[in-house]
Amino acid sequence: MTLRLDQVYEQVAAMSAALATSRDELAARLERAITEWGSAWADSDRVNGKVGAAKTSWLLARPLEPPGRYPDPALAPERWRVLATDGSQIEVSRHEIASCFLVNVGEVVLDYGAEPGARLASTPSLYFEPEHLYPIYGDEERSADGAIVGAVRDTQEFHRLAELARAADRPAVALVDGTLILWRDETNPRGLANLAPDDVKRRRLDAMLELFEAGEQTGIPVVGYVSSPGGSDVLNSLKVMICPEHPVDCDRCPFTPPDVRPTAITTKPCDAVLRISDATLFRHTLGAGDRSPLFWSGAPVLDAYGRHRVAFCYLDAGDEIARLEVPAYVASSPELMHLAHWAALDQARRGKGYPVALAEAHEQAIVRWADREAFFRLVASRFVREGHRVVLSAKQLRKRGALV
Amino acid sequence: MSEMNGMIGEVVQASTTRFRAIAAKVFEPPRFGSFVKVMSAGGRTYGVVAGVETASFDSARRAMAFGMPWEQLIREQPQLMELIQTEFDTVVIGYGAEGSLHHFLPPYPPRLHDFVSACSPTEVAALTDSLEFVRTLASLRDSPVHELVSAAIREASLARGGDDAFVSEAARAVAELFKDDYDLAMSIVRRLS
Repeated sequence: MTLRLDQVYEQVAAMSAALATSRDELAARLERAITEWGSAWADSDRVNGKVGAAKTSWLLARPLEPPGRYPDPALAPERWRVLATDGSQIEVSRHEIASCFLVNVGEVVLDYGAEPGARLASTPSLYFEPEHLYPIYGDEERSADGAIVGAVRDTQEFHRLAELARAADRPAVALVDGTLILWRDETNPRGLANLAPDDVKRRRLDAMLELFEAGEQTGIPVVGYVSSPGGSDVLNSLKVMICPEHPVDCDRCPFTPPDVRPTAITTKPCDAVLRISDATLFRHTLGAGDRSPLFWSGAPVLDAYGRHRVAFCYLDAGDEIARLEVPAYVASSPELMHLAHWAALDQARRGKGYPVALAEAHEQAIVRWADREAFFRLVASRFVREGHRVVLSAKQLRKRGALV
Repeated sequence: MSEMNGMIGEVVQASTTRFRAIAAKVFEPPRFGSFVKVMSAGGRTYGVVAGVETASFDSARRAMAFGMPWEQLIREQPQLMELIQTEFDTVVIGYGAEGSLHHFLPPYPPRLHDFVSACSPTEVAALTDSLEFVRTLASLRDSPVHELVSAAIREASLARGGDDAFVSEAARAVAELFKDDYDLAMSIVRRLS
């Protein structure tokens, strides 16, 4: 017996009741957010001034495009291509016979319009050298853990996507699964760009910037597609607009008693839109196929991106509100932005809610449990054949045949 | 690659009595009841195609309905052709080694990943000169035997240039083989015309 569902059932019932009581409060806050979006955001100069001067602990979205409707551009190119990569990994396991990790990168090239076609493939890479197992990560030597393997995987995905972009012979869009903002490296953005070239963090950043360069040179928009986005950058900026203070300085919040954390009380003016996400706001304000105006992201890590800062908007993709992230060369080109908007929407339609190219890249990349087991069996049989010592940990042996 | 010439499939599962192959092209398997061969290092395995199946490449992903005509579907979802495959199942009826042909099972099954190609009319004629293949096919338990036997006889007749005498002789062999099951014998014979 693992999870006792009978015991968790009453807790689920309590959770459901709590949700019901908070629903009315949420509805009122959402109403307020929609009103502020329609009124406070309309004056771009005022928003830029107040958001620009604000000191908050939250990320703030800055307006890049004026408010208004940005409908589906409904392009009809004669032929076009959608590119995507995705990756998965087998991490280093102390319980297995060999210290190594594996990164599997799936790639998808989909051609539409005249001469439709598809190319789906995946490429595995095995890492076993000491410099891979004990790399420099953020200027310190670390053994290759999940974060490091993830960074190596990202690097490979960006690198391959850049190659596919350079090889494209028709109008194309390059889709990245998820955000273009390297949140995990956020702690020290200025330090990030100054890391040694072989630092794993730096390599990931360089690979992403290389992808942006390739996209810019070939006129191919790179688009990060974030499904079910949890961000509230726009709402945070609305909070700044709601706050009567100018300039806003959360460290000196006059609505919070001294020695109390600002989050501990919920009667501040900005709490009128508390816990509303950007996706919820745009679910109620965008029409089908519309995107929101573009915003500049305020993520500190973007200071390391140089001229390739990242902007974002929200897209009503039908089944969900998706967040599209684009580098500056796309955000500043109406033509590329049209292509990015239309292609993302078209992909989501074809994929019944989620871009086909990303779904297939994921399918190409995925390493299932059975694949992982088969991989370690392959390693073991090769080791045995070549006379290496093969020892599994007691825990691993137990997993392969539990005592009953 | 000369070896690829005429290749219609690749063996992915093999036993003494049957083998399964993935067709070289989706939706382009050999005909049901037709005669195929596998060239292995140890000789040639001959068989009759006993079933064809087209499905999702990945058993964990089932194909879904899109509700659009085929030409439109391929334009809208070009990746689909990369995600489906056609497989065919073959019943082994004989083998050849060192210039001779035997109407009984080979000593070893074909290797996995060997190529499958269609038998030439000459090979079909040699394989069906003896009606032993009818008995081999008739002994199957998990296939629609009357459909498979009649299809194989029709395919053999076609390869022989529409040989009526061959069909008559095969019909007599069927009647003899199934003398205890009149209904089955008649359902095969009816399918020969």
